[in-house]
Amino acid sequence: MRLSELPKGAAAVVDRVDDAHDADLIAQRLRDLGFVEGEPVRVVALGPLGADPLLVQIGSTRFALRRSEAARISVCVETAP
Amino acid sequence: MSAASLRIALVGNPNCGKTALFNQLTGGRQKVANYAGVTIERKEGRFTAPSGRVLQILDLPGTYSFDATSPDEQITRDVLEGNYPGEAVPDLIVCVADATNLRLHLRFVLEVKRLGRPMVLALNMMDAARRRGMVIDVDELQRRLGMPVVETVAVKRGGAQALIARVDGEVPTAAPAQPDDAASRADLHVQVRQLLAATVTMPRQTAAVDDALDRWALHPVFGLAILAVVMFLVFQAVYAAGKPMTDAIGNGFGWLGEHLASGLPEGPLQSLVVKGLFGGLGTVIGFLPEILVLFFFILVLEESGYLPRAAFLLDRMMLSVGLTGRSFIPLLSSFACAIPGIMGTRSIQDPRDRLTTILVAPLMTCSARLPVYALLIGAFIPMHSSRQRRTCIADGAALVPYAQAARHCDRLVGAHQHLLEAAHRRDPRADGADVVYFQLPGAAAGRHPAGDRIQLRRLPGSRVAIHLRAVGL
Repeated sequence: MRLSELPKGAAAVVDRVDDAHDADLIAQRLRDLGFVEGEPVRVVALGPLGADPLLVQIGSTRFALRRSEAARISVCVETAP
Repeated sequence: MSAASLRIALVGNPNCGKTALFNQLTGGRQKVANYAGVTIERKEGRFTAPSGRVLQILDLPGTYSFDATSPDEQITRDVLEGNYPGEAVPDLIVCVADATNLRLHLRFVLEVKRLGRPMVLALNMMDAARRRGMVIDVDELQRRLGMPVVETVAVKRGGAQALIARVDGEVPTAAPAQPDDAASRADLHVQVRQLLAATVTMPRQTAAVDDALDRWALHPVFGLAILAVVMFLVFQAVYAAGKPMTDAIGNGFGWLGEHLASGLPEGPLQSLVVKGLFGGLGTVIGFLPEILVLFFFILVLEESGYLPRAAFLLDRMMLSVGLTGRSFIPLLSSFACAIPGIMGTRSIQDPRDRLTTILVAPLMTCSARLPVYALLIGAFIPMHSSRQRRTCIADGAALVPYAQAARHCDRLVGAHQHLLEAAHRRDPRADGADVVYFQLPGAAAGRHPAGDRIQLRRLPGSRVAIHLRAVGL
């Protein structure tokens, strides 16, 4: 599942960040910001028009990502314990 | 440069309080310069440590990583590695990290560590971390990182004492440099997680207050409404607070000029002093209050963290005109002045977005432009009292207002000749207006002979007036 498809408020864990093209700087930046395997993420809020951008929380930091950026991140939805 | 001086570079993620720490250390005694080619400030300051050693401190741009997606990051990396022309390699790197956000900031600390240079970690914002109930085991962190770790509170007087004491001592030995490749890069995150697990106890992931505020501030409907209200209040306040000050400055300079000129003989010199020097100064300095008030509000919005939220709300709209949500902040400052607005665009990473914002920023109406508009409007838009050729139609259904209509008309038009003429005679203000009649077959009031719909409209200053918008009369 892509981070861009994650419903608001649902908790998930980052699987990986895919490069959209060669030398994808945005994907690299996402990895630097902490979108790496095993990190818990959550979509906190959605933008007012077309639910774009997404406000994503990773750890205690919040990032605004456009849908196209969030689509690079593959996540696994946590099953309720 | 004396042999006793030590070159220190401050590095860290954006918003970790690096610059506050820099000002704390140097007491604001700094030299600001730009790196060639890109508009990035290079700040250097010096201070004398208690031991008498002179410390030269270089404040580098905030950086998330060394992958250089923005010019800031490229420069930071080049300086630290000694690759930047004309910049000596720093003797000591002070890596500043926000203690409340270690998960993000420690990664960069580890990245800097791999350069294999002597370094000290300054855990900044320790007061905020304690308030949030975070407990950081500094000794354990120090041991695991293999570098000295000091706590600082950059915004508090004396908050950098521990750091000063540490950098004044002997330079710590550096860990060996490590290769930089994709595998080790992913490994950094694993290391960060291990470090955090071993050294930090966090009560809750984010402050509950932040959550509650964001629920409203980022709400699709209320968020936009709040934004509109905030922007309205800011711009109203600029004029409510700035205008009296502007007037006072203008009057003050006028008064000063006249007093000085009273001692001068009438002539070109007096005119130069009164109108040129003091009149001109009064006008130019008069913009200052409005600009200062706007900057004050922008500062408040920025410090409160509202601006990134506004950027979030506006991103989609800005995208539709080829800009980005990040352009909002520079464009807003451009209402005060385009220069700081353009300087602020450096936080936009994408070169294309940055350039578009820079090109759009001067088109925002900065307050210094208002008098220019006033002048142009006065020059090109005639006053209402000047004669405008206006045709009025008065007809069956609306006989009463002939007289009122007449005063606004150059031409009275209607089907009822005698009424028109009577109105014309009764009202001397209609003198000079042509009277034109036409026959309405079937007396369809409100219809032009050509069949055009007649527009009935109130004119300013009259109770009722009839105005024909159809052409041809």
